[in-house]
Amino acid sequence: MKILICDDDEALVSMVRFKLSRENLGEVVKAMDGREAKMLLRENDFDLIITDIHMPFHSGLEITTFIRQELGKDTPIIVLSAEGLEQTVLEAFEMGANDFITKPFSPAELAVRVRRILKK
Amino acid sequence: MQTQPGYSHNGRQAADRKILSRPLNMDFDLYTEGDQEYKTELCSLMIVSLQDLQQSLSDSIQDHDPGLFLNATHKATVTIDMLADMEFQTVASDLKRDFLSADKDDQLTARARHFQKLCDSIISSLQKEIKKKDLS
Repeated sequence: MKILICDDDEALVSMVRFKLSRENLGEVVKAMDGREAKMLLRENDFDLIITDIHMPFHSGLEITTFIRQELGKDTPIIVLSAEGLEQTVLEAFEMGANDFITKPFSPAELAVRVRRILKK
Repeated sequence: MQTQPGYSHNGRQAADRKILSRPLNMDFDLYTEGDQEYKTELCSLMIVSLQDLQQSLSDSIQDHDPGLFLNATHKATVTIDMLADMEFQTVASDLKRDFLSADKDDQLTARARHFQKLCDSIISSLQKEIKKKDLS
């Protein structure tokens, strides 16, 4: 399994990478901003994408739209956000996200959600 | 909002302040599962995150741009939560409120100093955690 994590917070990316690797859920590739995320998405196939909403260059919602509309892919997407606002959550789902996690979250919670989406 | 002298060069400021370590409430095992190598990596990344917060606070005050600090705290949400330091969380959140209130310059200045000191203390404690691993 190949998982893309898009977030500009190095500590969070490191935490996600450590936990998912520890649980043998797959190889984790990181993108530190929306531009890098788009580049990686154009050039690679991923089994799961985890993206923050607030990122430099392109937001997580733009990335979600890019995956669904421009790339036409149905890769599962988990959206992360420090705002659990209902409007943001609904917008993410409307754009095609499969799950939404409000920051902060525990590594164990993330692993459970990833496992469920990947059906592992 | 007045620019506070000496807050523009954070490294020098930290050197000028007396830095005391602060007990860490963080549950390292929750994030590192006992992996010492990873604990070192995580501590180093959290230090960078805290230094970014300090710099953004200095820049926000100097440039009269609250957005810099607000964005930095947003970005550091996970680090702030991992630290599980109630005082630190409260001061960070009060600072955000002060920035948005035009008539609280004095309060903002005092709180900014306090926040910088808290960051210094936590950084010092995280550095000690890294050294513990190096000594073991």
